[in-house]
Amino acid sequence: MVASQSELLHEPALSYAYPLYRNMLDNSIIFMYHGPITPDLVVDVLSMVEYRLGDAKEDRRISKKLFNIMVESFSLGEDQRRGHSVLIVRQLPYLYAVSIGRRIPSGVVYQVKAFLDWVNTLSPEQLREEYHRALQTKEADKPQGIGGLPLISILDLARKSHDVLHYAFEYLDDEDSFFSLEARIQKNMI
Amino acid sequence: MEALRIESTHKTPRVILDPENGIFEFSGRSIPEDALGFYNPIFEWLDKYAQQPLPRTHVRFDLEYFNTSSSKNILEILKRLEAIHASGHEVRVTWFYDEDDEDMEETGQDYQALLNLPIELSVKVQS
Repeated sequence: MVASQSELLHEPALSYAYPLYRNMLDNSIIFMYHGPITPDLVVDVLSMVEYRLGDAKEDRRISKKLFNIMVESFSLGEDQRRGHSVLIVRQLPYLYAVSIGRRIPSGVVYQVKAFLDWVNTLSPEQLREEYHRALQTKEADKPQGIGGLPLISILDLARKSHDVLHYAFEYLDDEDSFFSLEARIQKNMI
Repeated sequence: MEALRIESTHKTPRVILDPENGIFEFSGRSIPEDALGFYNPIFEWLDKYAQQPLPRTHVRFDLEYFNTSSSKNILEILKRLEAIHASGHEVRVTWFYDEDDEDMEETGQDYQALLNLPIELSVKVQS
């Protein structure tokens, strides 16, 4: 049986596809991943993004910077507790943005926010000092940072991006909130 | 003492620790699932080497990319080398970086600042 044009236009099972496509287009998303984030995935994801950058003939300094930021973003996305995270890469004419989204315990939201607000006030020299301090803290002394987020990764992203970190929290329930963090690479800063 | 050789994978570096010639090399990527599990045998090997090191040891780091968890472990390696150097045995480290990779260069500078060890930063020659 042949479906009518009207049935094809209103197929309910596919109602998500166009809004998702539109959303990705409107937000300049060139890559998006949803699922468990593991080191095994990193190389494949970098290859896919490299392919997209090839289209844009991107400057090597910028693509190196983007990859370094993506590698560290993966560390923040590894959620041992809940498993699934999202990784998004956006490409605008003047910047790239790498964001990671994952669940964190609702009880640590204010602590994470306070840490990010503090990081965003630091000068490049202060960031360097704080990064050095974190680098010298042994894993055993401070295994997971706050709510499973390795704080050294946040310092590293702030340092590499030469920009403030953008973040958002979405309350889900008393147990979990959704945390998004975006590191931006301004092309004229590299 | 036997050499330690670990072949690279898509997420762990190639490691060669050659005690006969005093040449150590780390190359490739370092984003292991269990960083401590990967680096522990290297620490143990270096602790043994430190008991009777050669008069001169040359260490080359030629990494493509790595995460902060690996950075901590590389710092631990360098601290062990720093102790060998402090005991009067020359240790020279060369930290290679791609000229387009300011982060890799900056990481080398971080280690220079944190350690009392000769670390030379060297731009990779493009093949």
